[in-house]
Amino acid sequence: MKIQRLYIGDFGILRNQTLDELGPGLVVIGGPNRSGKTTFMQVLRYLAYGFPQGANLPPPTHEYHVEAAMTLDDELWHLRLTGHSKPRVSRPQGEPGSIDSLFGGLDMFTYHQLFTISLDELRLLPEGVAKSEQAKLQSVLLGAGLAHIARLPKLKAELEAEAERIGGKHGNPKVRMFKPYYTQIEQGIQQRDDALAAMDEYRTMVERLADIEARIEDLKNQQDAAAQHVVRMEILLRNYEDYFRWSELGRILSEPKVQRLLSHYPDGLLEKARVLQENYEAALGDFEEKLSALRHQAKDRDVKEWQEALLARADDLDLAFRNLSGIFARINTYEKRREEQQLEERRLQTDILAMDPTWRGDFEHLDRIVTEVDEDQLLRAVREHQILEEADRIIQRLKQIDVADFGKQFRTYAAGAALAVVLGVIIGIGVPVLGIGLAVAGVVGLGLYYVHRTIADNIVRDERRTLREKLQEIASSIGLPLKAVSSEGFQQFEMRREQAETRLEFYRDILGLTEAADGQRYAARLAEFRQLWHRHKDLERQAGVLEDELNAILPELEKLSELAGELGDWTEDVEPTAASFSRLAIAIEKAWEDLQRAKEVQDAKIKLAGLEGRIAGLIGEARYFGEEVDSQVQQDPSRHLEAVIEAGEERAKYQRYVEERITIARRIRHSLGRREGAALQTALDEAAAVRDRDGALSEADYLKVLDSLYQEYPTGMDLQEGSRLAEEAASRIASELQQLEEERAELGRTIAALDTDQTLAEAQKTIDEARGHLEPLARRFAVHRVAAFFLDVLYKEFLAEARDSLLTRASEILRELTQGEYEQILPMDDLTEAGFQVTAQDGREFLPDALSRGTSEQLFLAVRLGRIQEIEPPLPVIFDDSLVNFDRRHAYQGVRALKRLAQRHQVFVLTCHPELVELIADVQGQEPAQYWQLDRGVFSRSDWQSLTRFLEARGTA
Amino acid sequence: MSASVRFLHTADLHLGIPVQGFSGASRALENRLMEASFEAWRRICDAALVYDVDFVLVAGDLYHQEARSVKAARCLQEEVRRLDEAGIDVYAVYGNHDPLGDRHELLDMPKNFHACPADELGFYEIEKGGVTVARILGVSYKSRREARPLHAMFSPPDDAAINIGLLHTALDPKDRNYVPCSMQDLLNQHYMDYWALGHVHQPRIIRSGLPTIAYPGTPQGRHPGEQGVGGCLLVELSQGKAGEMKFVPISPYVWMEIEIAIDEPWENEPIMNLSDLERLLRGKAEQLLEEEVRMPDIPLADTSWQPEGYLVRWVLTGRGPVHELLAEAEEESDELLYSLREFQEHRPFLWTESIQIQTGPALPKWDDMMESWPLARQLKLIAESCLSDAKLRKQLDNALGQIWETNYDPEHPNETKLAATPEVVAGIIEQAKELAYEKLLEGVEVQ
Repeated sequence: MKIQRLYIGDFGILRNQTLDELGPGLVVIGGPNRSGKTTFMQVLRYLAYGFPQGANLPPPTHEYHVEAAMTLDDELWHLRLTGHSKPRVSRPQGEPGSIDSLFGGLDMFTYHQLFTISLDELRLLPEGVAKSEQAKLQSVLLGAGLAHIARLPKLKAELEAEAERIGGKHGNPKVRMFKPYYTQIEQGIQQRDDALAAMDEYRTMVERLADIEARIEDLKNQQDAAAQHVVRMEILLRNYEDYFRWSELGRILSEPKVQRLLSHYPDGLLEKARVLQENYEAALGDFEEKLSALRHQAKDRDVKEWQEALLARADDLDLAFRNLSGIFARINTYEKRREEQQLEERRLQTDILAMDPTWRGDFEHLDRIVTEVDEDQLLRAVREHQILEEADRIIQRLKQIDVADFGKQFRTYAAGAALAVVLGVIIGIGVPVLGIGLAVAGVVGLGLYYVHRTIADNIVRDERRTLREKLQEIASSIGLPLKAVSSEGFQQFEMRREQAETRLEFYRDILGLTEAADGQRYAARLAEFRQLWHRHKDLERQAGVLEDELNAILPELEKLSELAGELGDWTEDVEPTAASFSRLAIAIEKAWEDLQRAKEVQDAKIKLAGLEGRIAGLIGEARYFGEEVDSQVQQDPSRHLEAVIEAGEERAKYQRYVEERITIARRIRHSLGRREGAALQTALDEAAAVRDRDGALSEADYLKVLDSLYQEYPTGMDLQEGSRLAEEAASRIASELQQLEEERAELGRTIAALDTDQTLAEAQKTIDEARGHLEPLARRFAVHRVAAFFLDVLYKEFLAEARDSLLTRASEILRELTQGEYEQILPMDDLTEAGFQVTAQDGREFLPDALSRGTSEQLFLAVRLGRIQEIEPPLPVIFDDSLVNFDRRHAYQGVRALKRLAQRHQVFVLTCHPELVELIADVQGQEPAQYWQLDRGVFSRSDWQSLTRFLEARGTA
Repeated sequence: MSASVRFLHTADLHLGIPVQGFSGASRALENRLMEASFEAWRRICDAALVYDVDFVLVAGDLYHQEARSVKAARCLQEEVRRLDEAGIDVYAVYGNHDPLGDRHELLDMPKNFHACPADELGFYEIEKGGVTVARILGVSYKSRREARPLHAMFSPPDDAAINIGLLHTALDPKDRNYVPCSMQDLLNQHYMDYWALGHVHQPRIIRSGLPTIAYPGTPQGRHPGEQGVGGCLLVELSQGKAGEMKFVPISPYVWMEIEIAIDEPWENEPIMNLSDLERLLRGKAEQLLEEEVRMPDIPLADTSWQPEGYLVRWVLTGRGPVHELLAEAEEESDELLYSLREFQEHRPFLWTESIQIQTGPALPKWDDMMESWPLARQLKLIAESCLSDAKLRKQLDNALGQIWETNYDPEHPNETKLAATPEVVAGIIEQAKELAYEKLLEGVEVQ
């Protein structure tokens, strides 16, 4: 493919530039630095792929725009590139075309690395190639055939990694994914080995089982005998105390004294004696207690005498004791009434003094008033005095009326009125109105005077008459023979009035009244005196009654006082007061209580005497048990009774012994059950032999058997020891038996389990299962490992065979470039490793690091040129000042190589060096290259001389 | 009239050992498979009674060494007792799996059981009507490995009776583990009429002339490596004549390993997805259940016999789109397994032991690639030569990993490892070649 025409509308510095009729071979574009050469290379680099965003490309003015016309197999293609979009390709007829057809489907990375060569690309790690892309670059540089081989180590590693994931590095069954199944197999094997070991012992176990069975049978027989012995020992031990008690009781009861008591002492005597003793002791105690109480009260007195004295005055004392409350009530009443009487006396005296403060305590004045003042007379005198007082007042009035002139004032009035008439007439002359008025008033006044005078005269007359009539009435009421109401008459009244006053004065004097006292007061005063007099008389009467009462009480008190003095501690003179009598009553009561004690002592003594009589009777009843009773004891009924009781209690004790012995024998018999019976069988058989065939074995039989067994163990310790030995023997047998039975059971179980045991099969199943899981894993592991192995072999074999021929073309180019200085380029041992080995003419091998910069660039140029020629279709190649580091000799060879390349490819050489332009022109000779001048983004066709000059001029500038 | 005897020749009972691969089976099926060896022995004794034989021969490996349980001994004892009741004696030698050593039978065996000693030749005479009609000679293994030329001990006094030798051997003169001897060695022993051999688990008539030499095979295969119907031989021998043998099928369960190529169409349809694959596998399973079971190439004593069930290992091979589907999710292959295990309810049943996936992705055919691609050609060459090239073989063995035992004892393998049998290694090489090919083609644009 070759570019025929290139239009750069907008790309960085290059704008609206057309490179028309581009040469099919070497195209040299010369321009100084910053003229746009590298920009131009960028245009060609991305022509087939579009301008990527973010690739640090020169910016467009508006939008990237490039168009190209290209020839491929004599067909013209058009390419249009705008913005960042993919290029659009069309064929001349307008059919759509594929960019892949134009560029051979080459990826951008490969195209970039192989076809657009600047100084960067001639280094081990070109600019813009990441370290991670080195292998990719290496693959590009080595070419299609080697790319497959180069992948082999990686593929191998992948396979090995997978294998390692499964089974580790070496496929050890104990690691990674194998491990759980390996462990399971191991467990299965262990389980199987254990089960097989058990199998080995199976026969031994069966034999051991038979031995155990025989021994168990033997031991069981021994065990029965030992068990019976233990039971016998248990019987002896359990009944040991009972048995010895039973024996001891037998010994006691066989004594003659005991026998005698049991047979002769009457039944019931003991109880009677005990009751009597109890009663006697109670009575004695009671007597002594009572006597002691009496003695305590007797103080210094002889008790006996005192008791007799008390008993002698018993009736009197009882009577006095019964009357105490009655007397006490009478004294109380007497005392109370006397106090009331004294109180009334004091009140009367106070009242009298209130009436008459001059009273000196005698009652004669009272008697005089009562006897001398008649109430009716007193009232009449008072009445008469009052009437006479009234008559006096009337008389005085009459005298007043007669003296008084009631018309005087009225006359003055009449004179005034008459004056007024006169004046009025007079004035009326002068002043008629006033005069008339005044005269009228005078006339009226005179009229009124006359009327009034008439009326006043009538009133005086009437009153006088009334007063006289009244005076007449009074005189008649008091029996006064009044002749006329006149001054004489008035004197009569005065005389009577003086008489009345004198009488009244008498009364006033005796009653202690003043003149001011009105009539009613006289009567009231008299009534009061009379009441006081009555109270005085009442008091006098009451004093007489009290005197009588006192006289009645005092003799009784004297009697009581005498009794208390005789029987008690009473020494006072009794007085008729409650206080005094209370003390006397206490003395009487105490004497009465002492009397009761004396009576009780007397009763207790009588009772004691009765009991002593009964004791004497009982002792008589008990004269039989043949015991000698001490004479002293005999004398003392109480002690004698005690001896009888003691003997009775002894007998009761022995009777209990008899019963206890029976109980023990019965208990021993009952404690022997069937088991014990079996254990005692031999001895029982002997016992039975001496009995009737039908007779059951009695307690005595059993006791006899036990007796014989106990003979073997004289002491309790012997018995304990015997029992211990028997138990030990039985325990030993039982223990061995139990152990053997357990062993038998265990063996039986083991054997039975082994009979049906699936452990071996289970273990095998476990192993098989694990192996079943393990096998596909192991297979997968092996498959991956073997596949990796195959790839490894493949890789090594291929490398061994092809390594030398891989870079033949590149080696030839390097040989030319170095004029035979270096012979061959070889890939690294690991094809994916970046770099190449170079063999020098003398056979020495060099790595790129060891080469000079120029040689190194020659190496990478040779590798690229070699690869470029392998790729179809031939694509344009761009060199951007790639040969600058070559010396002239090597640059010449480089240009020759370009010339050869240009025979197949369109080759763009971008340079700022005029020497290179000259060299190209020189080398090209008859096959002239096309020359373009590039100046500040503007292309123009040129020739080598002009271009050289242009570059020289710019270079010097 | 010449003397004749009829007997059953069996060997390799391996009593007590369960068959492999029943994990996941129903409890009932599991129990049956656990006791498969007992069932096989019972059936042999049934056959002895049915065919009214004079005696039964057991040519070694009555027990499986690692599973010699009381239960196994009890099973042997009970069945021998049953034969005793019918007047049938049992003659046995012990083999490498149950060497006599110092060991005795765990249980007391009935009097009709005759175990040949290990230190000397066992010698038993069979009488009929007071006349010795046959002699049985045999010698047991003393230990797991028997390097003694035991066959040389077989020297009957004459040919007046039928002489039958009981021997447990691999019949390999180089194999010093299992009585090194060749067929010729046996033929060299005079007066022998029948060599009742044991050890090889496949029924095999080594020689049908006189003397007759035969392996009855194991009556019940234990794992996928022991495919086919197992049984014993019903032998009729007449003096001076070659034996007449019939195969009595016994194995209750028959192992099958069935290879299924995923790149071959099923019912004219290509296998494109897992449903297709399931349909294919189920179709194959149904086919197997419907077809007559394949018998050994020996005349049959019972032609109507059918097994109780098949124990099948499916091996998926070939390249196709299903490979990726299987590789993507393990559950998918589990689903397939569950689907196939539904056949355990059938009569006869089919129990799928496992599905071995040895498939690969769809890739260009080797033949096409080898023309244009030297790498493919070279890879194939390497795979083909790695067994024959000693250097490569050594590297290959090393590549297999420690888990694979290349130097193994097939009879007593190390159970914590796997035996790299030639078949296994060949399979691994084939798979590895395919995998390497697959890797080589990864990311490569094929023209």
